[in-house]
Amino acid sequence: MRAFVSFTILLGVSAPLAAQMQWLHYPTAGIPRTADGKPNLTAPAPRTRDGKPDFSGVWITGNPVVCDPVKGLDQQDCDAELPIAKEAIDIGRGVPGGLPFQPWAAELLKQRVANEGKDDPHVRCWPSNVPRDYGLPHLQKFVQTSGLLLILNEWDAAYRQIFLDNRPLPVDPQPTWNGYSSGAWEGNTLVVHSNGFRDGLWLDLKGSPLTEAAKLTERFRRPNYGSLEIEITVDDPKAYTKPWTVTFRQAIMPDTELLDEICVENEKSYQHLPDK
Amino acid sequence: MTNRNLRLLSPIALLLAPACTWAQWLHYSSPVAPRTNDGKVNVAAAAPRGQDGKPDLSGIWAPQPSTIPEILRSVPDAGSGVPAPLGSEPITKYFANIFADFKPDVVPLKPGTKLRSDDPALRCLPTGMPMFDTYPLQRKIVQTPGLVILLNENDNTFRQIFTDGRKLPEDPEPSWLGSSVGRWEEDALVVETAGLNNRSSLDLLGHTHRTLSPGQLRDHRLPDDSG
Repeated sequence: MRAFVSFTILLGVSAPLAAQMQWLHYPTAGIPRTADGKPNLTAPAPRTRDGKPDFSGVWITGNPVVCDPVKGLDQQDCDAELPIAKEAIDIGRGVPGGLPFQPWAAELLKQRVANEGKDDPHVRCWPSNVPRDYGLPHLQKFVQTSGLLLILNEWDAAYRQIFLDNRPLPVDPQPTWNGYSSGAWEGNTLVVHSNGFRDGLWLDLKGSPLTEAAKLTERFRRPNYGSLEIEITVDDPKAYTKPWTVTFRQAIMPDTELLDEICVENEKSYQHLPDK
Repeated sequence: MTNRNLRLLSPIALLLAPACTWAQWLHYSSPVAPRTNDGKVNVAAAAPRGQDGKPDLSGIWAPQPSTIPEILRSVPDAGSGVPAPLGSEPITKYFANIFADFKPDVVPLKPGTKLRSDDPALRCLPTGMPMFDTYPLQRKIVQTPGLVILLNENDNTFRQIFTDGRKLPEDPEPSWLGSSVGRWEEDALVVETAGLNNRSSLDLLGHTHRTLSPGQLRDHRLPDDSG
Protein backbone atom coordinates (compact mmCIF):
# COMPACT_ATOMS: atom_id res chain seq x y z
CA MET A 1 0.00 0.00 0.00
CA ARG A 2 2.71 2.45 0.99
CA ALA A 3 4.65 1.70 -2.16
CA PHE A 4 1.51 2.26 -4.16
CA VAL A 5 0.96 5.59 -2.45
CA SER A 6 4.47 6.55 -3.50
CA PHE A 7 3.69 5.55 -7.04
CA THR A 8 0.47 7.51 -6.93
CA ILE A 9 2.44 10.65 -6.14
CA LEU A 10 4.80 9.99 -9.03
CA LEU A 11 1.97 9.23 -11.43
CA GLY A 12 -0.04 12.14 -10.15
CA VAL A 13 2.72 14.49 -11.18
CA SER A 14 3.48 12.85 -14.49
CA ALA A 15 -0.16 12.25 -15.44
CA PRO A 16 -0.65 15.85 -16.62
CA LEU A 17 2.15 15.30 -19.10
CA ALA A 18 0.57 12.04 -20.23
CA ALA A 19 -2.82 13.70 -20.52
CA GLN A 20 -1.34 16.34 -22.82
CA MET A 21 0.06 13.72 -25.15
CA GLN A 22 -1.79 13.03 -28.34
CA TRP A 23 -1.69 9.36 -29.09
CA LEU A 24 -0.88 8.96 -32.72
CA HIS A 25 -3.56 7.03 -34.56
CA TYR A 26 -1.87 5.36 -37.48
CA PRO A 27 -3.15 2.03 -38.78
CA THR A 28 -0.58 -0.68 -38.26
CA ALA A 29 0.20 -2.33 -41.59
CA GLY A 30 -0.43 -6.01 -42.04
CA ILE A 31 -2.33 -6.79 -38.86
CA PRO A 32 -5.29 -9.18 -39.04
CA ARG A 33 -8.66 -7.45 -38.81
CA THR A 34 -12.22 -8.50 -38.29
CA ALA A 35 -14.95 -7.74 -40.80
CA ASP A 36 -15.60 -4.40 -39.12
CA GLY A 37 -11.98 -3.36 -39.48
CA LYS A 38 -10.95 -3.81 -35.87
CA PRO A 39 -7.73 -5.66 -35.03
CA ASN A 40 -8.40 -9.37 -34.64
CA LEU A 41 -6.65 -10.06 -31.36
CA THR A 42 -7.38 -13.79 -31.45
CA ALA A 43 -5.87 -14.35 -34.88
CA PRO A 44 -2.84 -16.64 -35.03
CA ALA A 45 0.48 -15.08 -34.09
CA PRO A 46 2.39 -13.75 -37.10
CA ARG A 47 5.52 -15.54 -38.15
CA THR A 48 8.82 -14.50 -39.66
CA ARG A 49 10.28 -15.74 -42.93
CA ASP A 50 11.98 -18.59 -41.10
CA GLY A 51 8.72 -19.69 -39.51
CA LYS A 52 9.36 -18.42 -36.00
CA PRO A 53 6.78 -16.44 -34.03
CA ASP A 54 7.20 -12.73 -34.62
CA PHE A 55 6.96 -10.71 -31.41
CA SER A 56 7.05 -7.36 -33.19
CA GLY A 57 4.45 -4.85 -32.08
CA VAL A 58 3.64 -2.22 -29.50
CA TRP A 59 2.81 -3.77 -26.13
CA ILE A 60 1.43 -2.84 -22.70
CA THR A 61 0.69 -4.95 -19.66
CA GLY A 62 -2.02 -7.56 -20.13
CA ASN A 63 -2.55 -8.08 -16.41
CA PRO A 64 -3.54 -4.65 -15.18
CA VAL A 65 -4.54 -3.53 -11.74
CA VAL A 66 -8.27 -3.02 -11.88
CA CYS A 67 -9.65 0.49 -11.94
CA ASP A 68 -12.29 0.71 -9.25
CA PRO A 69 -13.12 4.20 -7.95
CA VAL A 70 -15.17 2.73 -5.12
CA LYS A 71 -12.24 0.90 -3.60
CA GLY A 72 -10.00 3.93 -3.88
CA LEU A 73 -6.27 3.76 -3.23
CA ASP A 74 -6.03 -0.01 -3.48
CA GLN A 75 -6.82 0.09 -7.14
CA GLN A 76 -5.54 1.69 -10.28
CA ASP A 77 -5.97 5.40 -10.63
CA CYS A 78 -9.01 5.56 -12.88
CA ASP A 79 -7.72 8.69 -14.59
CA ALA A 80 -4.45 7.07 -15.64
CA GLU A 81 -4.07 6.73 -19.39
CA LEU A 82 -2.06 3.54 -19.28
CA PRO A 83 -2.50 0.56 -16.95
CA ILE A 84 0.03 -0.79 -14.51
CA ALA A 85 0.51 -4.51 -13.93
CA LYS A 86 -0.17 -6.13 -10.60
CA GLU A 87 3.33 -7.57 -10.81
CA ALA A 88 4.80 -4.10 -11.22
CA ILE A 89 3.57 -3.23 -7.75
CA ASP A 90 4.48 -6.57 -6.15
CA ILE A 91 6.38 -8.92 -8.42
CA GLY A 92 6.10 -11.80 -5.96
CA ARG A 93 2.32 -11.63 -5.53
CA GLY A 94 1.80 -14.85 -7.45
CA VAL A 95 4.83 -16.76 -6.18
CA PRO A 96 3.74 -19.53 -3.78
CA GLY A 97 4.94 -18.56 -0.32
CA GLY A 98 6.15 -15.18 -1.55
CA LEU A 99 9.62 -14.28 -2.70
CA PRO A 100 12.39 -16.29 -0.97
CA PHE A 101 14.35 -13.30 0.35
CA GLN A 102 17.74 -13.56 1.97
CA PRO A 103 17.43 -12.03 5.46
CA TRP A 104 19.13 -8.75 4.48
CA ALA A 105 16.91 -8.43 1.42
CA ALA A 106 13.76 -8.97 3.48
CA GLU A 107 14.91 -6.25 5.88
CA LEU A 108 15.71 -3.93 2.99
CA LEU A 109 12.25 -4.46 1.54
CA LYS A 110 10.65 -3.50 4.87
CA GLN A 111 12.67 -0.27 4.90
CA ARG A 112 11.73 0.55 1.33
CA VAL A 113 8.04 0.00 1.99
CA ALA A 114 8.29 2.05 5.20
CA ASN A 115 9.82 5.02 3.40
CA GLU A 116 7.30 4.73 0.59
CA GLY A 117 9.75 3.84 -2.12
CA LYS A 118 11.62 7.10 -1.84
CA ASP A 119 14.82 5.53 -3.17
CA ASP A 120 13.20 3.90 -6.18
CA PRO A 121 15.41 4.77 -9.17
CA HIS A 122 12.26 5.82 -11.00
CA VAL A 123 11.70 8.63 -8.53
CA ARG A 124 15.05 10.10 -9.60
CA CYS A 125 14.32 9.50 -13.29
CA TRP A 126 17.10 6.99 -13.51
CA PRO A 127 16.91 4.26 -16.15
CA SER A 128 14.37 1.50 -15.88
CA ASN A 129 15.18 -2.20 -16.11
CA VAL A 130 13.89 -5.61 -17.02
CA PRO A 131 11.62 -7.17 -15.88
CA ARG A 132 9.68 -4.34 -14.22
CA ASP A 133 9.43 -2.68 -17.65
CA TYR A 134 6.93 -5.33 -18.67
CA GLY A 135 4.52 -4.10 -16.02
CA LEU A 136 4.97 -0.34 -15.80
CA PRO A 137 2.55 2.01 -17.57
CA HIS A 138 4.76 2.73 -20.56
CA LEU A 139 4.42 1.38 -24.07
CA GLN A 140 7.19 -0.84 -25.35
CA LYS A 141 7.78 -1.61 -29.01
CA PHE A 142 9.33 -4.92 -29.99
CA VAL A 143 11.18 -4.94 -33.31
CA GLN A 144 12.31 -8.43 -34.29
CA THR A 145 14.92 -9.14 -36.94
CA SER A 146 16.70 -12.39 -37.70
CA GLY A 147 19.60 -11.62 -35.37
CA LEU A 148 18.15 -9.17 -32.89
CA LEU A 149 15.06 -8.52 -30.80
CA LEU A 150 14.99 -4.84 -30.05
CA ILE A 151 12.80 -3.46 -27.27
CA LEU A 152 12.11 0.27 -27.47
CA ASN A 153 10.75 1.77 -24.25
CA GLU A 154 8.84 5.02 -24.05
CA TRP A 155 10.42 5.64 -20.62
CA ASP A 156 13.25 8.01 -21.45
CA ALA A 157 13.20 6.69 -25.03
CA ALA A 158 15.44 3.85 -23.93
CA TYR A 159 16.23 0.59 -25.68
CA ARG A 160 17.24 -2.93 -24.83
CA GLN A 161 18.90 -5.41 -27.18
CA ILE A 162 18.35 -9.18 -27.11
CA PHE A 163 20.82 -10.80 -29.51
CA LEU A 164 19.55 -13.78 -31.48
CA ASP A 165 22.83 -14.63 -33.22
CA ASN A 166 23.91 -17.39 -30.80
CA ARG A 167 26.53 -15.24 -29.15
CA PRO A 168 27.57 -16.36 -25.67
CA LEU A 169 26.97 -14.04 -22.75
CA PRO A 170 29.99 -11.95 -21.78
CA VAL A 171 32.23 -13.52 -19.14
CA ASP A 172 33.05 -10.33 -17.26
CA PRO A 173 30.41 -7.84 -18.33
CA GLN A 174 30.34 -4.17 -17.54
CA PRO A 175 27.31 -3.89 -15.23
CA THR A 176 24.36 -2.14 -16.80
CA TRP A 177 20.72 -1.39 -16.03
CA ASN A 178 19.44 -4.03 -18.45
CA GLY A 179 22.31 -6.45 -18.55
CA TYR A 180 23.36 -8.42 -21.59
CA SER A 181 20.92 -10.74 -23.29
CA SER A 182 21.23 -13.59 -25.75
CA GLY A 183 18.34 -15.71 -26.96
CA ALA A 184 17.70 -18.93 -28.85
CA TRP A 185 14.58 -20.69 -30.03
CA GLU A 186 13.16 -23.79 -28.41
CA GLY A 187 10.31 -24.62 -30.72
CA ASN A 188 7.97 -21.64 -30.65
CA THR A 189 9.47 -20.26 -27.44
CA LEU A 190 12.27 -17.72 -27.42
CA VAL A 191 14.51 -18.45 -24.43
CA VAL A 192 16.64 -15.48 -23.40
CA HIS A 193 19.46 -15.55 -20.88
CA SER A 194 20.76 -12.34 -19.31
CA ASN A 195 23.61 -11.37 -17.01
CA GLY A 196 25.65 -8.30 -16.24
CA PHE A 197 23.12 -6.37 -14.18
CA ARG A 198 24.28 -3.52 -12.01
CA ASP A 199 23.66 -3.73 -8.32
CA GLY A 200 20.80 -1.96 -6.62
CA LEU A 201 18.04 -2.51 -9.18
CA TRP A 202 14.37 -2.62 -8.19
CA LEU A 203 11.99 -5.27 -9.46
CA ASP A 204 8.76 -3.60 -8.38
CA LEU A 205 7.34 -0.55 -6.62
CA LYS A 206 7.65 -2.24 -3.24
CA GLY A 207 11.39 -2.43 -3.74
CA SER A 208 12.16 -6.12 -4.25
CA PRO A 209 15.88 -6.03 -5.03
CA LEU A 210 17.92 -7.34 -7.94
CA THR A 211 21.68 -7.51 -7.44
CA GLU A 212 24.75 -7.78 -9.66
CA ALA A 213 24.73 -11.54 -9.01
CA ALA A 214 21.44 -11.98 -10.85
CA LYS A 215 20.90 -14.08 -13.93
CA LEU A 216 17.55 -13.94 -15.67
CA THR A 217 15.91 -16.45 -17.98
CA GLU A 218 12.96 -15.18 -20.01
CA ARG A 219 10.69 -17.37 -22.09
CA PHE A 220 8.69 -15.46 -24.69
CA ARG A 221 5.58 -16.98 -26.22
CA ARG A 222 2.92 -15.42 -28.42
CA PRO A 223 -0.31 -17.47 -28.09
CA ASN A 224 -2.16 -15.28 -30.60
CA TYR A 225 -1.91 -11.97 -32.36
CA GLY A 226 -3.03 -9.88 -29.39
CA SER A 227 -1.09 -11.35 -26.50
CA LEU A 228 2.40 -12.12 -25.35
CA GLU A 229 3.53 -14.18 -22.36
CA ILE A 230 6.92 -13.63 -20.78
CA GLU A 231 7.84 -16.17 -18.12
CA ILE A 232 10.82 -14.92 -16.13
CA THR A 233 13.01 -16.91 -13.78
CA VAL A 234 15.15 -14.82 -11.45
CA ASP A 235 18.27 -16.57 -10.16
CA ASP A 236 19.89 -14.09 -7.76
CA PRO A 237 21.59 -15.98 -4.90
CA LYS A 238 22.78 -12.75 -3.29
CA ALA A 239 19.19 -11.55 -2.69
CA TYR A 240 17.14 -14.76 -2.76
CA THR A 241 17.60 -18.22 -1.31
CA LYS A 242 16.48 -19.95 -4.50
CA PRO A 243 15.37 -19.08 -8.05
CA TRP A 244 11.77 -18.03 -8.56
CA THR A 245 9.50 -17.54 -11.54
CA VAL A 246 6.87 -14.99 -12.49
CA THR A 247 4.87 -14.46 -15.70
CA PHE A 248 4.17 -11.06 -17.25
CA ARG A 249 1.36 -10.92 -19.77
CA GLN A 250 1.33 -8.31 -22.49
CA ALA A 251 -1.51 -6.95 -24.59
CA ILE A 252 -0.89 -5.52 -28.01
CA MET A 253 -1.55 -1.85 -28.71
CA PRO A 254 -2.32 -1.71 -32.43
CA ASP A 255 -2.67 1.37 -34.58
CA THR A 256 -0.57 3.60 -32.36
CA GLU A 257 3.05 4.60 -31.88
CA LEU A 258 5.51 5.44 -29.14
CA LEU A 259 5.76 9.00 -27.87
CA ASP A 260 8.34 10.88 -25.84
CA GLU A 261 8.31 10.28 -22.11
CA ILE A 262 11.38 12.04 -20.77
CA CYS A 263 11.14 11.74 -17.00
CA VAL A 264 13.76 14.32 -16.05
CA GLU A 265 11.96 16.92 -18.09
CA ASN A 266 9.17 17.29 -15.55
CA GLU A 267 10.32 15.50 -12.40
CA LYS A 268 8.54 16.98 -9.41
CA SER A 269 7.97 13.91 -7.23
CA TYR A 270 11.08 13.69 -5.12
CA GLN A 271 10.55 16.99 -3.36
CA HIS A 272 7.14 15.76 -2.17
CA LEU A 273 8.28 12.45 -0.75
CA PRO A 274 8.62 12.09 3.02
CA ASP A 275 12.12 12.58 4.37
CA LYS A 276 12.62 9.39 6.38
CA MET B 1 44.10 29.35 -25.28
CA THR B 2 41.31 31.89 -25.05
CA ASN B 3 38.56 31.90 -22.47
CA ARG B 4 36.03 31.08 -25.20
CA ASN B 5 38.02 28.04 -26.26
CA LEU B 6 38.14 26.87 -22.65
CA ARG B 7 34.38 27.46 -22.34
CA LEU B 8 33.80 25.19 -25.33
CA LEU B 9 36.07 22.48 -24.00
CA SER B 10 34.54 22.38 -20.56
CA PRO B 11 31.18 21.06 -21.82
CA ILE B 12 33.03 18.52 -23.96
CA ALA B 13 34.90 17.24 -20.92
CA LEU B 14 31.72 17.21 -18.82
CA LEU B 15 29.69 15.42 -21.45
CA LEU B 16 32.35 12.88 -22.30
CA ALA B 17 33.95 12.21 -18.95
CA PRO B 18 31.29 9.76 -17.65
CA ALA B 19 31.45 7.79 -20.92
CA CYS B 20 35.24 7.77 -20.91
CA THR B 21 35.47 6.42 -17.39
CA TRP B 22 32.93 3.59 -17.62
CA ALA B 23 32.72 2.53 -21.26
CA GLN B 24 34.20 -0.88 -22.13
CA TRP B 25 33.71 -1.91 -25.73
CA LEU B 26 32.49 -5.42 -26.15
CA HIS B 27 34.66 -7.38 -28.57
CA TYR B 28 32.45 -9.61 -30.67
CA SER B 29 33.18 -10.43 -34.30
CA SER B 30 30.32 -9.51 -36.58
CA PRO B 31 29.38 -12.61 -38.58
CA VAL B 32 28.14 -10.55 -41.53
CA ALA B 33 30.91 -8.01 -42.01
CA PRO B 34 33.01 -8.55 -45.17
CA ARG B 35 36.60 -9.42 -44.35
CA THR B 36 39.99 -9.41 -45.97
CA ASN B 37 42.17 -12.51 -46.17
CA ASP B 38 43.75 -11.67 -42.85
CA GLY B 39 40.37 -11.58 -41.15
CA LYS B 40 40.09 -7.84 -40.77
CA VAL B 41 36.89 -6.05 -41.68
CA ASN B 42 37.06 -4.91 -45.29
CA VAL B 43 35.86 -1.33 -44.96
CA ALA B 44 36.35 -0.76 -48.70
CA ALA B 45 33.96 -3.52 -49.71
CA ALA B 46 30.73 -2.68 -51.50
CA ALA B 47 27.91 -1.49 -49.30
CA PRO B 48 25.49 -4.31 -48.45
CA ARG B 49 21.99 -4.15 -49.86
CA GLY B 50 18.60 -5.23 -48.60
CA GLN B 51 16.14 -7.47 -50.38
CA ASP B 52 14.64 -4.38 -51.98
CA GLY B 53 18.00 -3.54 -53.53
CA LYS B 54 18.47 -0.46 -51.42
CA PRO B 55 21.65 0.12 -49.43
CA ASP B 56 21.52 -1.46 -46.00
CA LEU B 57 22.65 1.11 -43.47
CA SER B 58 22.70 -1.40 -40.60
CA GLY B 59 25.79 -1.44 -38.44
CA ILE B 60 27.52 0.35 -35.61
CA TRP B 61 28.81 3.76 -36.54
CA ALA B 62 30.84 6.55 -35.05
CA PRO B 63 31.20 10.08 -36.38
CA GLN B 64 34.16 10.47 -38.66
CA PRO B 65 36.56 12.38 -36.44
CA SER B 66 37.94 15.73 -37.35
CA THR B 67 41.50 16.71 -36.61
CA ILE B 68 42.21 18.89 -33.63
CA PRO B 69 43.15 21.82 -35.89
CA GLU B 70 39.84 21.38 -37.78
CA ILE B 71 37.90 21.46 -34.54
CA LEU B 72 39.75 24.49 -33.27
CA ARG B 73 39.22 26.28 -36.62
CA SER B 74 35.48 25.63 -36.27
CA VAL B 75 35.40 27.46 -32.95
CA PRO B 76 35.52 31.24 -33.25
CA ASP B 77 38.40 32.87 -31.44
CA ALA B 78 40.02 29.50 -30.91
CA GLY B 79 43.54 29.42 -29.57
CA SER B 80 46.38 27.36 -31.01
CA GLY B 81 46.88 24.88 -28.19
CA VAL B 82 45.83 21.22 -28.41
CA PRO B 83 43.29 20.54 -25.70
CA ALA B 84 44.11 17.42 -23.77
CA PRO B 85 40.51 16.16 -23.32
CA LEU B 86 40.11 16.01 -27.10
CA GLY B 87 43.19 13.91 -27.67
CA SER B 88 41.51 10.50 -27.93
CA GLU B 89 37.80 11.06 -28.63
CA PRO B 90 36.29 10.65 -32.12
CA ILE B 91 34.92 14.16 -32.23
CA THR B 92 33.59 15.70 -35.40
CA LYS B 93 33.89 19.44 -35.90
CA TYR B 94 30.13 19.53 -36.42
CA PHE B 95 29.64 18.49 -32.80
CA ALA B 96 31.51 21.63 -31.82
CA ASN B 97 29.97 23.85 -34.48
CA ILE B 98 27.21 22.60 -36.76
CA PHE B 99 28.09 25.42 -39.14
CA ALA B 100 31.77 24.49 -39.31
CA ASP B 101 31.70 24.36 -43.13
CA PHE B 102 29.78 27.59 -43.56
CA LYS B 103 31.43 30.88 -44.25
CA PRO B 104 30.54 33.23 -41.40
CA ASP B 105 28.51 35.50 -43.67
CA VAL B 106 26.17 32.69 -44.79
CA VAL B 107 25.47 31.15 -41.39
CA PRO B 108 21.65 31.50 -41.01
CA LEU B 109 21.66 33.34 -37.71
CA LYS B 110 19.04 35.86 -36.85
CA PRO B 111 20.46 39.31 -36.22
CA GLY B 112 21.43 39.80 -32.62
CA THR B 113 21.28 36.06 -31.89
CA LYS B 114 23.14 35.05 -28.76
CA LEU B 115 24.61 31.62 -28.45
CA ARG B 116 23.43 29.71 -25.39
CA SER B 117 25.78 28.57 -22.68
CA ASP B 118 23.37 26.37 -20.71
CA ASP B 119 23.10 23.29 -22.87
CA PRO B 120 20.18 21.21 -21.51
CA ALA B 121 22.30 18.10 -22.05
CA LEU B 122 24.50 19.23 -19.16
CA ARG B 123 21.41 18.71 -16.99
CA CYS B 124 20.89 15.22 -18.42
CA LEU B 125 18.09 16.32 -20.71
CA PRO B 126 18.18 14.74 -24.18
CA THR B 127 20.69 16.08 -26.68
CA GLY B 128 18.05 16.30 -29.39
CA MET B 129 18.68 16.84 -33.08
CA PRO B 130 21.13 17.05 -34.78
CA MET B 131 23.47 16.33 -31.87
CA PHE B 132 21.96 12.84 -31.78
CA ASP B 133 23.94 12.31 -34.99
CA THR B 134 27.11 14.24 -34.15
CA TYR B 135 27.62 13.17 -30.54
CA PRO B 136 31.03 11.50 -30.15
CA LEU B 137 29.77 8.07 -29.11
CA GLN B 138 28.73 5.09 -31.17
CA ARG B 139 25.31 4.61 -32.64
CA LYS B 140 23.75 1.50 -34.14
CA ILE B 141 21.48 1.52 -37.15
CA VAL B 142 18.96 -1.32 -37.44
CA GLN B 143 17.28 -1.21 -40.83
CA THR B 144 14.07 -3.18 -41.30
CA PRO B 145 11.35 -3.03 -43.97
CA GLY B 146 9.37 0.08 -43.18
CA LEU B 147 11.48 1.29 -40.28
CA VAL B 148 15.03 2.39 -39.62
CA ILE B 149 15.98 2.58 -35.95
CA LEU B 150 18.97 4.44 -34.60
CA LEU B 151 20.27 3.39 -31.19
CA ASN B 152 22.55 5.91 -29.52
CA GLU B 153 24.97 5.06 -26.74
CA ASN B 154 24.48 8.59 -25.50
CA ASP B 155 21.60 8.45 -23.04
CA ASN B 156 20.88 4.89 -24.24
CA THR B 157 18.23 6.41 -26.44
CA PHE B 158 16.68 5.62 -29.82
CA ARG B 159 15.22 7.36 -32.80
CA GLN B 160 12.75 5.94 -35.32
CA ILE B 161 12.70 6.82 -39.02
CA PHE B 162 9.57 5.45 -40.70
CA THR B 163 10.13 4.36 -44.30
CA ASP B 164 6.68 2.84 -44.82
CA GLY B 165 5.37 5.68 -46.91
CA ARG B 166 3.62 7.55 -44.12
CA LYS B 167 3.61 11.32 -44.12
CA LEU B 168 4.88 13.49 -41.31
CA PRO B 169 2.16 14.13 -38.71
CA GLU B 170 0.28 17.35 -39.34
CA ASP B 171 0.22 18.42 -35.71
CA PRO B 172 2.95 16.42 -34.00
CA GLU B 173 3.49 16.33 -30.28
CA PRO B 174 6.75 18.30 -29.86
CA SER B 175 9.60 16.09 -28.82
CA TRP B 176 13.36 16.20 -28.43
CA LEU B 177 14.00 14.06 -31.53
CA GLY B 178 10.90 14.93 -33.49
CA SER B 179 8.97 12.67 -35.84
CA SER B 180 10.91 11.37 -38.84
CA VAL B 181 9.96 9.82 -42.16
CA GLY B 182 12.38 8.68 -44.83
CA ARG B 183 12.30 7.87 -48.52
CA TRP B 184 14.89 6.64 -50.95
CA GLU B 185 16.25 8.86 -53.69
CA GLU B 186 18.30 6.27 -55.53
CA ASP B 187 20.94 5.27 -52.99
CA ALA B 188 20.34 8.14 -50.62
CA LEU B 189 17.92 7.86 -47.71
CA VAL B 190 16.34 11.28 -47.40
CA VAL B 191 14.92 11.86 -43.94
CA GLU B 192 12.56 14.66 -43.00
CA THR B 193 11.94 15.51 -39.38
CA ALA B 194 9.26 17.68 -37.88
CA GLY B 195 7.88 18.30 -34.45
CA LEU B 196 11.11 19.19 -32.68
CA ASN B 197 10.54 20.91 -29.37
CA ASN B 198 13.38 23.34 -30.16
CA ARG B 199 14.75 23.05 -26.64
CA SER B 200 18.07 21.42 -27.48
CA SER B 201 21.26 23.00 -28.69
CA LEU B 202 22.57 22.22 -32.15
CA ASP B 203 26.19 22.08 -31.08
CA LEU B 204 28.54 22.84 -28.24
CA LEU B 205 29.00 26.42 -29.34
CA GLY B 206 25.38 27.01 -28.43
CA HIS B 207 23.55 27.44 -31.71
CA THR B 208 19.89 26.64 -31.18
CA HIS B 209 16.94 25.59 -33.34
CA ARG B 210 15.54 29.08 -33.32
CA THR B 211 18.47 30.16 -35.47
CA LEU B 212 18.11 27.35 -38.04
CA SER B 213 16.01 27.17 -41.18
CA PRO B 214 14.22 23.86 -41.87
CA GLY B 215 16.60 21.44 -43.57
CA GLN B 216 17.29 17.81 -44.28
CA LEU B 217 19.70 15.26 -42.86
CA ARG B 218 21.07 12.86 -45.43
CA ASP B 219 22.26 9.32 -44.66
CA HIS B 220 24.24 8.11 -47.65
CA ARG B 221 26.53 5.10 -47.38
CA LEU B 222 29.58 5.31 -49.62
CA PRO B 223 32.06 2.42 -49.94
CA ASP B 224 34.91 4.39 -48.43
CA ASP B 225 32.71 5.56 -45.54
CA SER B 226 31.64 2.07 -44.48
CA GLY B 227 33.37 1.37 -41.21
